[in-house]
This record gives sequence, C-alpha cells and structure tokens, in this order.
Amino acid sequence: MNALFDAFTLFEFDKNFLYVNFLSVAIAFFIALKTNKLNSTLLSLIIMILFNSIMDHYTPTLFTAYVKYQDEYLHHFRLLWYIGFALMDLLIISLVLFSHKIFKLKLVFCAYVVIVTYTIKMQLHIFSYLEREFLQTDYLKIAYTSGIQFINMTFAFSILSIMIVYLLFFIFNKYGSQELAEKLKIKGITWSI
Amino acid sequence: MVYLGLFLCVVLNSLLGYFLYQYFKDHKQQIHSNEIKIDPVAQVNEEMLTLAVRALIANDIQNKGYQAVENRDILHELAQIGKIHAGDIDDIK
Repeated sequence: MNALFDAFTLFEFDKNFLYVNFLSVAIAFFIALKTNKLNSTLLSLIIMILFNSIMDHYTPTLFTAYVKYQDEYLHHFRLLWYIGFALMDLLIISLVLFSHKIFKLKLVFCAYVVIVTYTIKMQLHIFSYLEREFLQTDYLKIAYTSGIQFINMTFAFSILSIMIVYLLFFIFNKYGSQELAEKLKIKGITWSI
Repeated sequence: MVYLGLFLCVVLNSLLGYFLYQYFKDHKQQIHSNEIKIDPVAQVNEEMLTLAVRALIANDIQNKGYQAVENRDILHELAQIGKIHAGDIDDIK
C-alpha cells in the first residue's frame, strides 16, 4: 500500500487529481453529445469538480491566514477548516440527489460513488474536528491527512477507468459490428451512464 | 466557538441523514410500486426507443389485435408499463 501511495505522490497525482477527473468529464461529455442526452455521470462529476475547484482555492487562502493568526483565532480557524469542508461535502451530496430528481435521471454507479465518497470524507472531517476540539488528542491525524488524499486519488483513477470502459462499450455499440453488439446484449452487458 | 462547532457538526450530520433517508425512502417506494418491477430501461435513446417500438409492433401488439396504432399511443403504453421514462416521450414529440 505504501509503495502505491509513493508512486502516486511521486508524480504529484495527489495534487493534480482534479485534472484526472477532467478527463472523465470529457468522456462523459463526449457520450452526452453523441447520444444528445444529459447523463447522470456527467451531472454528478460536474457538480463534484465545481466544488472541488472551490475547495482548491479555499485551502491555501485559509492556510496562509492560519499561519499569521493562529495564536489568536485557533478555534475559529479549526471551525472554518473542518466545518467548511464538511459543509461543501454535504452540498455536493445534496446537489447530486436534487439534480437527479429535477432532471428525472436514474442514479448510476458513478453517482453512487460520488455520494459514498463524500459521505466518508464528511464523516472524517466531523470526527477529526470533534476529536481535536473536545478530546484534545490527535489519534485521527493519520486517517485524516492520508485518508483524504487516498480517497481523492483512488476516486479519480477508479472513475477514469470506469469511464474508459464505458467509452469502449459506447464505441463498440455504435460503430462496432452488429453481431458482437447483439452477443453482448444477450449476455446482459449494457452500458448506461 | 467550540460549542458552535459542536452544534454545526450535529446539524450537518442530521442534514446528511435526512437527505440519505429521503433518497432511500423514494427508492424503496419505487421498488414496491410497479415502476421498477418490469425491468425498466430508464435512459433509452431515440434509436433504442424506435427499435423497441418496432419490436412491439411486430410481436406483441399485432397479436393482441391492435391494428394501425400510432407510434405515440405505443409510447404512452410503454410509459404506463414502465418500460420508458415519461420524459422520453416529450423528447420524441
């Protein structure tokens, strides 16, 4: 596991996971254009990327302010940091659910992954906040610092690989031979994003 | 400030619980109603829809004695069975 983690951090994937997500959005966008229909994956990934880029700008701003004023406003900063991120995670989850209801879309695998990932992240933020403020301990530090990075990276890569499989299926169904497509249909393999 | 944080934690977690509860409640209702019982194709594109309509005309509907049914009626019938989404009909009109 450590070797995997090092391999990811060597190429700074932990910092650039957003760009990996952009690739999956591009694939979802391509399929949406070709089928002329908004799909669940595109919607949930766009909501996620929007808030992730907000968080990307929020982090350094808060951190530089924290370094300056940490003696006076330590508790304020902790509140802004942990609860701010938890709030944004909640916003992502709720927006994904509401937008699917509004556009009458069915939740597919990718949307479930987004919901589950951000639920885990939100719980990590809330529990580490409660621990630091009330118990004055730091046992969750490892889980918090490496856990969030690990979730971001694995999320980006798993979604990208799933999207590539979807794209292959799409091309296969659209431009591939009729026989193969029918064989796949009989076996119950369908693509829906 | 610390107690405000505790309060916010409780509020956020209960909101999360509320959203997930609402979602799973709806999902459960859908499963219990007839909507999902007949293997639904919730997101069909135009090609798949026309194929389905042709297949229906060829096999089922003619056997049942429906003659010269307009495509739109078949679409409504499909929507009633739950094979297609109600929003898809508007797309094709």
